[in-house]
Amino acid sequence: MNGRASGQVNGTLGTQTTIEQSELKNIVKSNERAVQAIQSTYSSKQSAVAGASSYPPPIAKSAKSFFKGGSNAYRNFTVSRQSDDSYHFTMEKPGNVPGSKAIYHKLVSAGGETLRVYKDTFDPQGNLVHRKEK
Amino acid sequence: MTQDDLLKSFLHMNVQLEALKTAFGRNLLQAEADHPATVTAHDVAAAIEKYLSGDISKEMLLDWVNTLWFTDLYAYDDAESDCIASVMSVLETLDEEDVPISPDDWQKMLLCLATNTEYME
Repeated sequence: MNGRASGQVNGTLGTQTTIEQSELKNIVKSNERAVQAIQSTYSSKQSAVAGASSYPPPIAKSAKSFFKGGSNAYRNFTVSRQSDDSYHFTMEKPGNVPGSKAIYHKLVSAGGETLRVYKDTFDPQGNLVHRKEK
Repeated sequence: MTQDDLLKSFLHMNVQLEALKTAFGRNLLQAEADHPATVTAHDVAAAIEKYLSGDISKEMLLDWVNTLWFTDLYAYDDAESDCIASVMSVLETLDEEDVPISPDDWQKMLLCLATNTEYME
């Protein structure tokens, strides 16, 4: 089973959203060991904060806090559930140089405890320029 | 000093990061506060003014930004959240040489904070 299970549909406001969380949970339950990560992707900060509510309360709280810190100029907000039930949040900041970008990461345990926060910066060619631990 | 007072003191830059670590533990990413302190646009503007006037170092401002942004000890004022986040996103890059902040940029950020509008880079 491919561990990546995410799809996008256009919402009524034109934003893209993921397939229903209930569908994702059913996939996880039936293929628990085979799933490496389940990822949801949100195109905007607003949809990411709203989407975070669908996760267990401690995860939702952590995700909302993380995403709210991002600017509305950010894109590609993701929530990935790992095989050990920990979660990985990311959000992408476009760089000043066209094609460059920075990705903020937050790793939390299954119980919502923050494990790590860091930022990766990439040049226009996609090379990792540096990583800043927070 | 109570927990609330300490958080406010750090917010107003009256104490340094070490004081928070002493009270909340070395790993502030895992610290929790009974009542997270609220960050306002005025607080961010005040921090910028202190930095521009030389009252605080770049390192102090960066510690401040990273603590307010990435820990659960602080939360942005709901009504000003987007404005604050847009400016903090810039301040967080203060130590990156390839992302200079010009005098004009600083003034624009201060104006955005004063008017609760989002700063566009």
